[in-house]
Amino acid sequence: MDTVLKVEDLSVHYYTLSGIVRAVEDVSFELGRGEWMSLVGESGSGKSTLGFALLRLVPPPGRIVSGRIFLEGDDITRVPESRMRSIRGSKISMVLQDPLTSLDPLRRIGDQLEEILDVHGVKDEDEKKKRIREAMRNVRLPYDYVSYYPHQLSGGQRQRIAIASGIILNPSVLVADEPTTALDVIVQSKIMDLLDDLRRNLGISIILVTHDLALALERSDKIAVMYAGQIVEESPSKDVAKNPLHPYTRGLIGSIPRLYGPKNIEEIPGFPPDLRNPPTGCRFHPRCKYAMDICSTSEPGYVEVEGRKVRCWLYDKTRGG
Amino acid sequence: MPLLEVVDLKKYFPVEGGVIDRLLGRVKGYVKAVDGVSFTVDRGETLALIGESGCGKTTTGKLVLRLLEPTSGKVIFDGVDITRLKGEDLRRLRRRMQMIFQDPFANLDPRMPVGDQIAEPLVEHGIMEWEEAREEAYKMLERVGLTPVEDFYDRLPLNLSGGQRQRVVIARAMALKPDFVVADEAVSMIDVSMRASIVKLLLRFKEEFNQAMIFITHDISVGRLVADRIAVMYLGKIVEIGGTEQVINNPAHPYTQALLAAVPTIEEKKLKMKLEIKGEVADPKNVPPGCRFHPRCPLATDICMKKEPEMIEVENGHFVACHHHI
Repeated sequence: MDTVLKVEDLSVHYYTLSGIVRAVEDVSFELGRGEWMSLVGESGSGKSTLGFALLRLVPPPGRIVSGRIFLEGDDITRVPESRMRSIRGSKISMVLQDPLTSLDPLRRIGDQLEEILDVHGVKDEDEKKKRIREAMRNVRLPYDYVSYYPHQLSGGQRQRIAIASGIILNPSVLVADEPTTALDVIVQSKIMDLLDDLRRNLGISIILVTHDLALALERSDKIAVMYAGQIVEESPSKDVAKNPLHPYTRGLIGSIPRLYGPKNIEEIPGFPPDLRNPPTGCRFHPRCKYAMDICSTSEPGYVEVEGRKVRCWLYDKTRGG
Repeated sequence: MPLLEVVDLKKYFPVEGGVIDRLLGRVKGYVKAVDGVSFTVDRGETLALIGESGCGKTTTGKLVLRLLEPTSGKVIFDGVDITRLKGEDLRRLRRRMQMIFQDPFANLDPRMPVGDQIAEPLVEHGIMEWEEAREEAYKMLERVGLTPVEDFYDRLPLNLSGGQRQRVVIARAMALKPDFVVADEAVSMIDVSMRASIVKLLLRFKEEFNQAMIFITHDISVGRLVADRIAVMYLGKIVEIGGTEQVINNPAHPYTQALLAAVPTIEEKKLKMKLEIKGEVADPKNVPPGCRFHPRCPLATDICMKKEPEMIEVENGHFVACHHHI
């Protein structure tokens, strides 16, 4: 599988009045063509910031402080903003939780899709019509809906329109940030089916940003679990439920309610840290039941274990003894 | 005798048109948020109300507590019909019934120290004086795990995390030792790693006070954690009700089956068939005739468009309203 996106040691900080928030720190991963990766984490884990950073859309006072993002070989952290604007949408694109915030309530769906094409220099009327027709078909909506306004659509249909606007320029990567959190489960499941079709039929690589580990495991090829701004584990989904490596991933698996299995769920004691002042050593150590002396003093490396990656001293063999 | 009995409860909200309609007192129609719901909850029992947004589960919760006036139907609490209760009688009852909402922030006074917010209802209901109530609040904070208490008592809600705020809300509700609690999506906004502790907290108080509880949630797997019985709602009606394991292992309504198929889990699903559900929930202003689920139902036939299905018992204590139950 050829690599579409490669992120190396990416760090994003927010420079707030009350200090520097280290929202994303030393994140690295690769994404293949047509691959589906999910970024899983709780609120404040940095997963959304990372999602925005991939499009260079981190809102101020945040900014990418180091690292590289290679999109189809080009390092997009180094390109001027004018070029980035043409890359957004055509090579990497994004869908947000609430489509009402990305759709203009006063304009017809078709006009909004057309505007995206206009901005990206598609001028030919027939070509525009063809692309809009194709986008609507790809998201399984009747073409007539182009004459509707957003309020005339249901939540699920609006999210389909948001996806249509995300894929109309045929990007390689689609970042979907909690696209179904505001939707009901049956609709959620259909939107997930749709994303799956897009990568199968169009070869679009998907990055799903979600708090829902069960959803991520059910749908994606691999998951990256984020905790306090770092990826603590990257594994194929099929391995995670049976054999989570990082103690935090283990904790998350234990906190998923079952439909048939044991009725109890486990909590992870304590609270996530303040990222202006993260714990020394491993950022998870204050909540970890496996914590050793070394965990509070030095930071574990991001090491490979059986083709998976994990940031934990239980696996990092560079520790003494 | 059940602690709570709900009989054919209905709540229709008028749809208001423009200013002129309003001035002339014209009503354009009704949103049938709750449209004939009946169930019972015993002392010490938890009933989970499960359904998607707009199904009427929250409205049902509010009606049962008389936070909303029903259009018709009865709510019988501890043998007394409370639907027409007023004044002091209603106030005395309120002490015994508490609601915990989804968003703890909206539920707390932003300018009052959280400790005092726990003490206040005890004073308001005339149970104790402030001094004693503050001591009680102190104990409650300790019991919900907000320790050391002296660090938490004087904080404002803004200075707490979501999970901590929900603990304050629970402490405030439970300080009154209610017999009956409605918890509306009480853990939905809480991060998963802290969800378990909130669920356990609710269960511990439930045991201690032998409470009856209605646990409202959109997530059937969360409902299973706490509920003895599950009621599945669709467009203002209960479509299936039964023991938790009965409903999950042996879903009889196509809608319940679809909910189970759609909920993400890490387990192999044990479903008898795969049903393709069409579209999205209908507009509650225009409820479909016959069975209200029929436009989305893959099993629907002529009868479903004409006749509203009655509740029938498919196994002991397990009821479903469907002409073609599975």
